[in-house]
Amino acid sequence: MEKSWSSWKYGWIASLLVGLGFMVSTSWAAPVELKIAFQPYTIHNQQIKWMQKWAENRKDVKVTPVPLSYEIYYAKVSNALQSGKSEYDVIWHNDDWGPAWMNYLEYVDDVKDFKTINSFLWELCFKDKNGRSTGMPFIGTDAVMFYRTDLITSPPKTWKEVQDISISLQKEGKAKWGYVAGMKFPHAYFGFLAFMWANTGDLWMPAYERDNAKLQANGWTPMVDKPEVVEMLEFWWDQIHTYKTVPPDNISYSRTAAQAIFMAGESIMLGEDSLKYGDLMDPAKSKVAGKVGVAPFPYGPHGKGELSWDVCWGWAIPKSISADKKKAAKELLGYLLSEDVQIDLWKTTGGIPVTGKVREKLSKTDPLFGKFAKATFQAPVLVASAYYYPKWPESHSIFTDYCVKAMMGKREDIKKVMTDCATELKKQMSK
Amino acid sequence: MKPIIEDERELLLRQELEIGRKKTLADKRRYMWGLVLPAFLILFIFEVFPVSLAFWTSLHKVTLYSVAKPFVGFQNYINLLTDSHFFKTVIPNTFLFTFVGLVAETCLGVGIALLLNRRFRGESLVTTLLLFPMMVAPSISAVLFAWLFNSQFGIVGVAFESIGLPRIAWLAGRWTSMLVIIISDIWLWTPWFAILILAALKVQSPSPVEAARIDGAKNWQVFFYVTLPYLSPVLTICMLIRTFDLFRQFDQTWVITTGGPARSTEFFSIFAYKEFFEYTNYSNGNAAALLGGLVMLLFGVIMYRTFARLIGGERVKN
Repeated sequence: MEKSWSSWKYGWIASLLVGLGFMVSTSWAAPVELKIAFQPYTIHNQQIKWMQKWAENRKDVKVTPVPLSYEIYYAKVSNALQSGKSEYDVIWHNDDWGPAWMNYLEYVDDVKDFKTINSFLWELCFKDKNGRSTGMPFIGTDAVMFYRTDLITSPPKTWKEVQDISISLQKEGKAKWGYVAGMKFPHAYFGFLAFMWANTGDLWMPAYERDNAKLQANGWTPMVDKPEVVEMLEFWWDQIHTYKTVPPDNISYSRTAAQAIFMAGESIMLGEDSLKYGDLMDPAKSKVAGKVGVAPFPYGPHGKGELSWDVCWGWAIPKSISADKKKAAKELLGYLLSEDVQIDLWKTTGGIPVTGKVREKLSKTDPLFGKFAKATFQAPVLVASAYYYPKWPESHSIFTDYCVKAMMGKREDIKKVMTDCATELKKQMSK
Repeated sequence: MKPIIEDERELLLRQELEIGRKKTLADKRRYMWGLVLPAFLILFIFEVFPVSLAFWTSLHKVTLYSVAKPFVGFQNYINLLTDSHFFKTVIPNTFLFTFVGLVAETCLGVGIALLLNRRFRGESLVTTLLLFPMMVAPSISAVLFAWLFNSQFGIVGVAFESIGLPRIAWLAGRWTSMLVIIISDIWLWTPWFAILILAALKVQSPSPVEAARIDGAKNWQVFFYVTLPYLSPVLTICMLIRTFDLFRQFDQTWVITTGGPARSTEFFSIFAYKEFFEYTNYSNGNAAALLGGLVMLLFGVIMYRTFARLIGGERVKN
């Protein structure tokens, strides 16, 4: 028995020593590894391509991409950050997650060329109480309405025109559907939200206000049951149920599903990020390649002009990673702001670069970029396409779910559903 | 009378034996701990600690964006129990899905197993094909069903149109969405039932069935009075395991509907996930998960007792 115990004891100790030895030897030999958390999306793929190119030229850093689906991205990375020992070294950062994550993120405003980024892209979403940025914008996620240039010569400017064009082309048998966009949470930006903002509606009063202190001073008063928002829902209800210009199950569509319908040549218009242009124009993927135009979002009866937004997606670095990784990560981010990478981003995806000088250069040299500029950051009305308080993901989800609920019920119940939504939002903010 | 020197020797010998016995006992204990310790550590790290942490979190207000974690007692549980969505949608959905899925999968599983419980050409091929859905990951099968029932591109819509029926927007309504989720679950899990029941049928002694037939029993009588009681232990265990699985079902629902449209197909697990991960209300999410676990435990005990009573209980109890 004594012998057995001894062999157990020595076995344990030997295993520990072997394990420790292995850890020490690998940590001495290996280059710094940067694990990149991203969603497999056109622009991210472009960024990963350049990150790997950067790493190839350096022997001391290795880049390991870790793709995560959009549906679980926020949840997964939030959990990693909160654990206090992030498994990722560089993370994709969406503008509307800024306030929720900023306590866990390293300042990145000391990254090379950070000062060339248009400041409004990061000040609203990534700036913390010390006035410093916890995220580095790498692309402007600017919203557009794509339309079929072979079916319409000039894009609709108002909701009425959207409806008329859709009905007319459906009657002629030229298109199956008028307008498609994702509508389920968290895909409703180009359906419910864009059209709400294009009718001067918003979640909280006053409309378009993003200063949390002012919203707080106003008692976080919901706007979702006001005519500007109710009219937007009535418009969609009519398109789905009365005129049937929008697919009946559009309320269950993700952005990918809506895009698939447009790329299959079955709809006239699609609401999406400008950076989808590359996919839409790829003949291998899209039946409408070569027949796609861009325009800002049409406005409703309360609207003051066509609308877009110019916000950003960024990269961020968790505070909890080691100093050598932070140093390498910052060098990597600096590289992504270089002119080559930014111009390639535009050329391969249709994404709007974040640095003022590159935008200016492209405006002068590239006519297509000029069209995108007019449809996006030069649109008559520009809004911030999110709120920037920590509970925003929940508010966003509540609002989207009630909009979907309104579409599932009777038209005359829309106002009541949105009154319930207002109560729910109020309750959420008071929790 | 023994000499004194012999007494001393005996005393020494006894002392040595006593020391040896104690040493052996201590070694035995160490050896036992050595064997048990890894399992205990694993259980503690992966079961006891997380559940305890979840319980602690459920008694505090813990969010992603706040450093403070104030103690709130059972407030999170009260919030949950007074949430109308939780009671009007989540609970009924969970029980409905569990009940319909369980009944359908059990009936179909037994039916398929009875059909396959005979010698025929291609028997092994059919049995292998039956296993096919079990080789597919639930999330993959969910993607498959989401596209099958897609109103624009789905084959189901094409089939409906070919027989003169209109295309249905399956995922735009609560009950049609629920139906798609249930169908996908039945497709995925019925083979599991069928294979286990078939295995039980294959080892069944033919004597009771032959005796019943000699006594003039009809097919349905043989099934209800001989086969079903024989299958009852296997059925009870299968149904119990599936009840828990159905109750905490997540992946298929998440992929097909994400609990929508408008949260109308949310189950317990989706509700807890959203609270925890989407809203980053860790306290509410943990309270929901723990409450779900408790309900499952109570439900499991009731189910076990009910099954035991309903289908040949004595054999199950024994």
